[in-house]
Amino acid sequence: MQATFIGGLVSVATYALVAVGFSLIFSVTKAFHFAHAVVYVLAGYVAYSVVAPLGVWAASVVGVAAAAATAAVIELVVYARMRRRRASHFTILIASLGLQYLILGVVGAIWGTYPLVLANPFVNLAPVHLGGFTFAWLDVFTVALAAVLLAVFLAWLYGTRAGSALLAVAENPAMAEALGISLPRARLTAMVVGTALSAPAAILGGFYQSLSPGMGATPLFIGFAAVLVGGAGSIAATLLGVTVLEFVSAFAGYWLPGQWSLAITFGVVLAFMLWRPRGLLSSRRRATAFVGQLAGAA
Amino acid sequence: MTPYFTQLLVFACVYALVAASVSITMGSAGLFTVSQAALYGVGAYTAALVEIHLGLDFLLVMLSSIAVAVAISVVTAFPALRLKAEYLVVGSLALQLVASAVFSQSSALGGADGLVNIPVPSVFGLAIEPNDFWIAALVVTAVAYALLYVVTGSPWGRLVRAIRDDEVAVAAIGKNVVTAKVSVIAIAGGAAGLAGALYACYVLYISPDDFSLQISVGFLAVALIGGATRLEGSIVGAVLLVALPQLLRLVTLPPNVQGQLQELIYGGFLVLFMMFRPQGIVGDWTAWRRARSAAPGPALGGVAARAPGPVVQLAVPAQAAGEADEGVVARDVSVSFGGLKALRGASLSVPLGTVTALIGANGAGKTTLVDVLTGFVRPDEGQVSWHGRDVTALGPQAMARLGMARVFQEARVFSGLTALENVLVGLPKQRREHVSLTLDLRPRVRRAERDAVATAMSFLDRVGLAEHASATAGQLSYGQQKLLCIARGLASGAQVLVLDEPSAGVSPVAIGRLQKTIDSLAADGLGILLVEHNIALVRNCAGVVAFMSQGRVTMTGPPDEVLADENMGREYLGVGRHGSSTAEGVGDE
Repeated sequence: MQATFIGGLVSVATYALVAVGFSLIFSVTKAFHFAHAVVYVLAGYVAYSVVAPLGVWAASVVGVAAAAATAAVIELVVYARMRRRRASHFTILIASLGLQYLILGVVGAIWGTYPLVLANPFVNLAPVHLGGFTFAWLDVFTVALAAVLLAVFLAWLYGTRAGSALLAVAENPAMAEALGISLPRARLTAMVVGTALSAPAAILGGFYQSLSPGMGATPLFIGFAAVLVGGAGSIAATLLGVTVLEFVSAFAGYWLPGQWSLAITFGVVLAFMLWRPRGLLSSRRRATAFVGQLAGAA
Repeated sequence: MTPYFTQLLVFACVYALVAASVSITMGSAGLFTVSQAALYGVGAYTAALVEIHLGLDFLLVMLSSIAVAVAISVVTAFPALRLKAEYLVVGSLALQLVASAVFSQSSALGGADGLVNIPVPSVFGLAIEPNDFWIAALVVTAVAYALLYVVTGSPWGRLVRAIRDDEVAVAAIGKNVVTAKVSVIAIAGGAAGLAGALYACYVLYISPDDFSLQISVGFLAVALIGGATRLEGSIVGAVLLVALPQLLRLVTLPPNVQGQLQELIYGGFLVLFMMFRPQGIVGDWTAWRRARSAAPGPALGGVAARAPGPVVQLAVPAQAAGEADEGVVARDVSVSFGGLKALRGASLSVPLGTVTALIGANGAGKTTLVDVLTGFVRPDEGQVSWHGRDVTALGPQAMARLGMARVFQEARVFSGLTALENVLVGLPKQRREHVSLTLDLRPRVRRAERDAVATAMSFLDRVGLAEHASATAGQLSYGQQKLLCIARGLASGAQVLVLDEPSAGVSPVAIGRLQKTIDSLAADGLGILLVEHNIALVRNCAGVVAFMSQGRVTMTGPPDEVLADENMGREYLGVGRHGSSTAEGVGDE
């Protein structure tokens, strides 16, 4: 039970990174960036390849940078070009599915499809006792890293000009453009930042278990589900969604065979869709308040 | 035939069937699902279990696979179809993942090892050996495709494509959107299930890996690369994607690349096609064909464009023409959105045989009042009546069936259909519009359909679009698109036609055409509600002008009187002491 709780906490931490990264890309670019599932995983593979000469920390940084650079290339070469040709969201989603499949093939061709292990740098440290729970150092590090990364990200998003520009584009692209915000640049920023935020999750996954090309699929589904369960358009809602879903999944996994937990998670998502189609933190109130402000200003 | 070619042929058939299922859901209906592999797996496991435990005839095996796949796809899709498009994606993703879990966990299905030793299928006691299976596969696929052609080529198929182009406009002409979508999901599920049965009965060994999410993406690739808007695209895609890896086998590739061939080819092609030719190989080539010859394209999928029928039958009750029939009436209706009061006790009557113009500043509540009259918004207070009967509770489909037709401000044509097809969709009571009747090909039914084409042509002629009958609606000018929407509304049996800012964004020439059409329709007894900012058009057409301000109709009367009124001028046109009006009302527009 204790292991389940800690396992739940750790997976909330890593999945939250993937979900928030995906949520940022989804809300700013409006594209269902399915390929996120494999692009962020590239960080783990690249880190694996350079870990011998560089050491684990520098290799991780290189890995994250490589994943973010790949996302930038995808945005510039594929998505931006498709948008210029007035492709629908639908077409972009399918192209993204194709990219995901293609990159899976590339990863398989370069690194093989067998699991690769990234050595856990904390393996020799004694566990920490905290409030009746025993945490491995890797657990502490994972939760702390995710918390710090999310805090820095939120501070950037809400506290800087670049972050506000992304929020404006997410809320109303046409209005944001009229105010002088460059949409192509905002989309590129969202792709790079969102991928960089998610990428450490792949390296942590490599420390915990192993790297495999398909390891990003489940976190992406959970992330997408969290956006829907939590309610689109709010980072807090996405985090709440991930927390609910991951604890459901962790405890389902405690009583049932592994594969069922994903099925149960999606059962929960379907139940939410029927019970609360607008999400846990419904954005209706915010939308109404926003229209009210506009009306007041007019 | 050698085992090698038999295998390629059978796989091409199986892929073509699953791809047809993708083609119908995505290409025809515009619904996005990722559960094709799951339903294909359901078909395969059903076939395997029926073969192993019951040893039924191959025909019955296929029927059971189809039945189970249809049932599962409908039960799982129904809740999601009532919600937004994203939910169907999630719902189908959930179905795919749950199915994969069940396939690999359930001991009755053989767990991760799958089901082995499936008996060789037999038809009427004759065993079909694996090497001869290509005959069975070809026959089954040919029959299935023939049926799918009839079904998708029927009025039902046309309705489904209209829903893809504009769901709201379909509801506004009184058709049931959810039923049509559920039947799409059912047919697609059946095709995938049938493919699963073929696969299981040929390979005689199935495992969960054959039905994973990645396989679903592969099927998407097959359908989309071939071209999802037409059924034959699925065949082209299937043949291509079965042949390509075989051809590449002739080249020596490094073993690690060889192992990833499927992902690299399918993924790479999918990206390239979406970037440069999203309609796929057999998609729309009209632009290309037009460039090669100046001759006009072939007409209308088999039905030649016809001369308009002699009489346009408007749905107006005979005695109504000329008389003061009250048509549709709103009494003291109020509507609030959250804290915003869009309507505060507005009343308006739209009698038959007259053009009633509704004017007022942006935010005065005009669009909300139209929404109430057409059933899109239910009022918080007040009543809507139709020929004296209370219809406040009716939704847009029911109002449309009564005889309210709405032409939206932003010309909502079905852009992928021809002008004639747009009007045909509007016609009520078409027998083969219901999916279970699409195979009713009796001469009587076919004759009724030919008559429907003539009727539709006469409605097109009425608005002056007869010569554009075979043009794709999306390629008509904006003014023509609005006229087309009027023709579609007339075809749906309109007694009252609501025109929401018909002149907005339309050229002066087209406005002249519009005015003539409006005049002649009113003269024939139709009730017209004209929501308009173009005062000249209002002055020329309207019999009665109603002026709205702050959620109420504050003035009703003949055009000269209302348009000359000083209060109206000040509030609406900004003429008078206060200059421009600010903070006057909160917007619904």
